[in-house]
Amino acid sequence: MYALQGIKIVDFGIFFAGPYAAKLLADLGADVIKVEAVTGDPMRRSMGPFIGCQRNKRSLAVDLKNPDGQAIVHKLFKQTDIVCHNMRPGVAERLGIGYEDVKKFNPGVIYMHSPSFGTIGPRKDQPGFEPLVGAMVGMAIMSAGKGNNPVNSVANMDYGNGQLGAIGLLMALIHRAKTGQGQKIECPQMVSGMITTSELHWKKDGTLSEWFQLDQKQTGYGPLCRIYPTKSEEWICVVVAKEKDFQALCKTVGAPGLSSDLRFATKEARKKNADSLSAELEKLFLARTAAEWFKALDAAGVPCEISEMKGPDKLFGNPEHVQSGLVSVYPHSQFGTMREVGQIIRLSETPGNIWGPAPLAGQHTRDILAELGYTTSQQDDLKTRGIVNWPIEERAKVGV
Amino acid sequence: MAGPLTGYTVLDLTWGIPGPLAAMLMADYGAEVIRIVPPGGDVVTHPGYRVWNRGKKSVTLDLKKPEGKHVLEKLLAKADVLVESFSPGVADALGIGYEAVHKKFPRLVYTSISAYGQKGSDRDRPGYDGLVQARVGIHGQQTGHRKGPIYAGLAMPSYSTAFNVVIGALTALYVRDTKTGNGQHVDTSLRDGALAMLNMNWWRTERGADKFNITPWQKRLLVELFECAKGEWLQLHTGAQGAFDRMMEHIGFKEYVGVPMTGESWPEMEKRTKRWFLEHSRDEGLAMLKRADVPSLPVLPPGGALHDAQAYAMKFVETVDDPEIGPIEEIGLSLRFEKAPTAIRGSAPKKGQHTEELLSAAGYTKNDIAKLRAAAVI
Repeated sequence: MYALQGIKIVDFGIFFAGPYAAKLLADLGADVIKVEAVTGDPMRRSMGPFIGCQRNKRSLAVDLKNPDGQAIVHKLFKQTDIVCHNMRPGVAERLGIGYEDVKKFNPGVIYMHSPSFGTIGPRKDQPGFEPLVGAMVGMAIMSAGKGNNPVNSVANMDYGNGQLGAIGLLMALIHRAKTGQGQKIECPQMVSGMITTSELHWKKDGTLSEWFQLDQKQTGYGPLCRIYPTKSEEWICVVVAKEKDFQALCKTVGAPGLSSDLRFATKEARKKNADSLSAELEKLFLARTAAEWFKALDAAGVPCEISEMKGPDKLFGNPEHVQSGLVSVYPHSQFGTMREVGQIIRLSETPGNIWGPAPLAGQHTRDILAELGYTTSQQDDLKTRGIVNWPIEERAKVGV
Repeated sequence: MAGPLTGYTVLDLTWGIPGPLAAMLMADYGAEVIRIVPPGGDVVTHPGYRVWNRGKKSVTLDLKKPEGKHVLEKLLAKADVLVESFSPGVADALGIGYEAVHKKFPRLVYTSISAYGQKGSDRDRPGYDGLVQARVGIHGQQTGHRKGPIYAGLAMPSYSTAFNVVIGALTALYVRDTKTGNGQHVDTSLRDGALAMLNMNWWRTERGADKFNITPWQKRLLVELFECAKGEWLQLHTGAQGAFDRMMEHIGFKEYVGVPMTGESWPEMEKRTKRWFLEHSRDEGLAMLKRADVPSLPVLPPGGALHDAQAYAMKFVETVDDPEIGPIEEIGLSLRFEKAPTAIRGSAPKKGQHTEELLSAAGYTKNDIAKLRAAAVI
């Protein structure tokens, strides 16, 4: 039994953040139907993000503006646990898929709206988009390095909003299990971005809480928590927090005197003379390759890693990760064998289930219509009239 | 007010970022969270702890002493979720690993945070966020002002892990309460957290479709940070349909509207756009983009979002009276539940503030508690 087996989600999510919430629950075993236009989700043109948030879902391509198309969606509403979307406030209502509309068909539904900024307030009608929200909550300046122009952070808040959305849906499922009630949830993207900088707080005297500022060269947070260039092209990362690790570091880099040098002998002294210590270590690290340093430092128990620059290739190619499920491998109807990030939350007794890549537009339209009671000839009729769509037979067959 | 997690008890045996933040998210929605720290207090503290420990109860406990373990068991008997972040193997050595605890408390959801997971050949690699960034490959993904690896300006794997911890724990709770009646082991790691925030571009295919073609549509995608007058910055995104043309129209570059952008016209357009923003204030720039209905936001310094008018309107910022540092403005509640509204449960506690209260509730007499204190167990 998969963890969320039996939970049904109708996902009107667009772009990335909204669909990512449903994808996370799909990975844990929920049955997610992605509802998209008969011409396909426009986001399909942006293949990377699309693939990253749509796998493990079934696709229904349907025209929401046609009454017969609406009738299909109404049938889905009747039997679903969850409906979610991330359109701007008011848009779902205009499409006839607002909370009040869905409740008519399913009074106990869990309905999640993930707006950019919320349904009230001066920014409520503004679109969000990443990396804009991340930059607004401080991440572009935090990523820049001291005194530099802002840069986009590697931490993209589309993911964070999807993760927070998954949390909201699970909380609502738990509430429903206790009370029998469904409800509406609001999961704004701005605040999910703020969670990722939630250590920040303003004190009474108007000062901001301490935050760790990246150095000007963007190497880290000081001599003992940073990356160093080496003799090879690769860089080595060291994080030395304990006194014994500092001594081992000095010894291994061939400068045991550093740890007794009065400038660096204590934590306070090292903080005061951080730039000198960084300069000393920078010189020393140039003497050997990253691989040589890794071997020596690791053997000496100094916490270190080489900064991997080649993306996921090593990870995806490691049979251990394929076997453990950290990397998922399946056939894709257009691209051949496909590797993706697999299971990132492991439950010992009721695991998740990752069964296939992002669907083609309408790939499961026929299956879903059949489940709703439409006969084959009714399905064909709906397709002929342009109310639903599915891919041409050959492509659908190779799909998962 | 009963929140979705009201009635559940969570034991927080964590440090670093992900565990305390994950437990905060559960406290925010009604769970009673008991944070257990050594009698000497947190070994390593973090400026975020004033926020992340809000609404929790604090108990001091020496888990290395048998009496300390005994107290923990009393607390476990009433708990629904345990979150721990010991290095893999350490909890087992202390006698509070999953197997041992699950045997005694089968309903408990046991949630483990580690650097690389509870199994596998990387299990014992050192567990600092920056090192996980290096090993997974985040330093190769972060944009920088120079060539080579770039250290991430915030602990991305840790924050992402906080979310995943809550997702895992709540899934297991739901399974327990609706299907199996039993708890289980939830295993997630900083590496998992990093991967959860990389998968947009981290996939590979046999036929090499990994790098999608730059179609004419893509050539209308402008996602950039722009400097405005007085050194203020904004960012814009023309990914929505028609946004690029609308922006060109409103900025006054009508020659780019509706025509295919080329290798020559694109850099020229970017150069002119940069100049336009430099010559206008940020407010003027944002007003222009608003008229054009192009997503755009100010680039704010850390803490700036807490003072944004939208944060006040949506209560994304709240003032909490902290017993150690006085009233502070911090992040408010993130999710809103129609039928289970909650409020922040209170400030971060003082160290050990609730030790006596919770031990009394667990059946310890005043005398027992005094003895435990004398023996430095609590």
